Amino acid sequence: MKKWIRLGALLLLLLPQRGTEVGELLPVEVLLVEKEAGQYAITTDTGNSARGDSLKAAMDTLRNTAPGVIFLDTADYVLLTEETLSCMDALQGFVRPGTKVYTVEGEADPEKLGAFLRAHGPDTPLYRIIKEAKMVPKLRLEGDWHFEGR
Amino acid sequence: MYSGEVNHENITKIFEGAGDFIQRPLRCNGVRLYAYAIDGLTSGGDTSEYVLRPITDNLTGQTARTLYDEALLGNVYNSVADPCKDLDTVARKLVNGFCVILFPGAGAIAFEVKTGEKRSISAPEVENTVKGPKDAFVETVRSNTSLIRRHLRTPELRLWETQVGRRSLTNVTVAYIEGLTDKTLVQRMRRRLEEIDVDGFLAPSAVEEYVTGSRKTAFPLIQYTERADKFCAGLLEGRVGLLVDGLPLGYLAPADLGYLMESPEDWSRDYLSASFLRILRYGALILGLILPGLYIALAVFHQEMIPLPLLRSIIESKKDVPFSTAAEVVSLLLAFELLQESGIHLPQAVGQSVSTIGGIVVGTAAVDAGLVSPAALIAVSIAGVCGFVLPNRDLAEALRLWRLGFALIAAVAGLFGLTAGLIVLVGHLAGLQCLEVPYLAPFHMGQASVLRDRMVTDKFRDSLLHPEDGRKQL
Repeated sequence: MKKWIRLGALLLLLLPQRGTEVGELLPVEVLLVEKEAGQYAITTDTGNSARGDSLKAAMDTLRNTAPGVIFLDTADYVLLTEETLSCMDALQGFVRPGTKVYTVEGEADPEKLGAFLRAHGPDTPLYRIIKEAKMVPKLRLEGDWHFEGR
Repeated sequence: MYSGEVNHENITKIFEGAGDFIQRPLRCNGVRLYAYAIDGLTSGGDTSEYVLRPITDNLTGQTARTLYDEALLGNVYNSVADPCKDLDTVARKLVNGFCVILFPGAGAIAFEVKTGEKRSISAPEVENTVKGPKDAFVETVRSNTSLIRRHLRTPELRLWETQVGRRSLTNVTVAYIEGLTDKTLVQRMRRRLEEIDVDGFLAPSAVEEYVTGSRKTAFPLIQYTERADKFCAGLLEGRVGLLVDGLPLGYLAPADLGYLMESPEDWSRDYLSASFLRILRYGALILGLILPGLYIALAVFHQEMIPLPLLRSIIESKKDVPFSTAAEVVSLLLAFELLQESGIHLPQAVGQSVSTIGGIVVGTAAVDAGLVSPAALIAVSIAGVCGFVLPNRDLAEALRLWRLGFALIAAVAGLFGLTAGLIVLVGHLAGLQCLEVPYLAPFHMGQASVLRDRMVTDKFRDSLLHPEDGRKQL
């Protein structure tokens, strides 16, 4: 019996999973992916931003430069621009399949858009857009923000 | 065991040096007799009135033999007059509150003159109910058997008595109902008691460990109660009861998880309310067991499972706390245990104040000082309160131990560890037995029913106990 307990304890300690202190997390709800001067620019509603030649490079920079741990598992909305629509497939490696994706026209501030998207954002998750080739809803700034066609 | 002839020298030698041992020579019709008693255990007035006076007034014989026969046949008017055939019986009778009269060369007779000094029957302190009876067991086994007889007047009630403990000579009574209780259960209990060979049989843990076979577990394998009505209900269900002199408790065996989750309140309210509260109780059991571990697992390993607003709130509350979530929760659990322990060891009034100050003032101050986060404090407090909901203290204490273990394993391996811990716990519980009845027996083959039956439909006794008479009502 004691042998089994020791073996179990050893297996637990050998687990590859390592935790992250919840206090260090920067939970992202809204993620804006743009292109500026030929580079990918990422801005989050937690007030963090980064740039890179590719989406992955920008994400790596974001993670390395943030004052805490950027936590994308809570990302509910990703805002893309016309130039960054092509990175849809690459996005799958960073956010949940259920994350809703929109394109945005105008100067968007992720920190301010969260409440609006929670109230008015259409249900267009990333996996359905990719699988069913659905149209990505467009969010446009005309005085106030509103979704095109709604 | 004392051996030798029953004479004055041998009897006085047994109690040599005992300050409370009383010996008095008597002369009856020219024959020298001796009276022995233990001061404090016997009533001096009763000894004079119902032993010494009849001996001097009523006995007419001229030899020790004729005096002995007259005393035994009723001339000494005492309700109990037991002949003592050997020295061991003399000693046992004396320590049980009898006055022994030695008729040299003829024998000795023990007359019952027990003192009336004992705690009176009072209301239960732990298992109190609003509507139920208020008579609880006391330390004297004979008072407890009389309580049982008053609740359960069937002549089939059997009280098998024995003594356990080589030096404590503790009187132990096994209670069961003839023609109802499975004889195998009674035999198993009697065998367990007969196999016990210890100096003292005084503490509850001694009773519980020796009777249940001292398994390596924190879970109670025998159910205790201070309520005579609950004890009798257990006997009527087909279980075996155990009363130990000196303990204000009655034990019921077998005990399984289903019995330990029942409260006396269940039978003092309607079946719907009782069923609802039982469901709550089982919910509290699970919540109290896993909540601290679950909080650690979610906060450290699986943050994606926490809804975003709640996660933000937890992150906000954790920002200024210098300790890790696991350290926070484990230290709070230990602080909670310390508070409980201090509350037990202090006088009741002071204990309550310490618990209140500890729980509210220190908890609030710790949160304000940024030593612990409110979320961790809430998780541990809810788990603590859930522990108090359980009707059996032994079960609650076992769960407290496992709860701490679950918190530690969740700190190492998150939900995976917690799940592994739960599997180990279920395996451990499934391996436990009391009088060879499995601990999880009520939950086997999907037969689990946590609800209380309606009285009119509850017609059969628990089949797991194999009662000789399985039907409660027509």
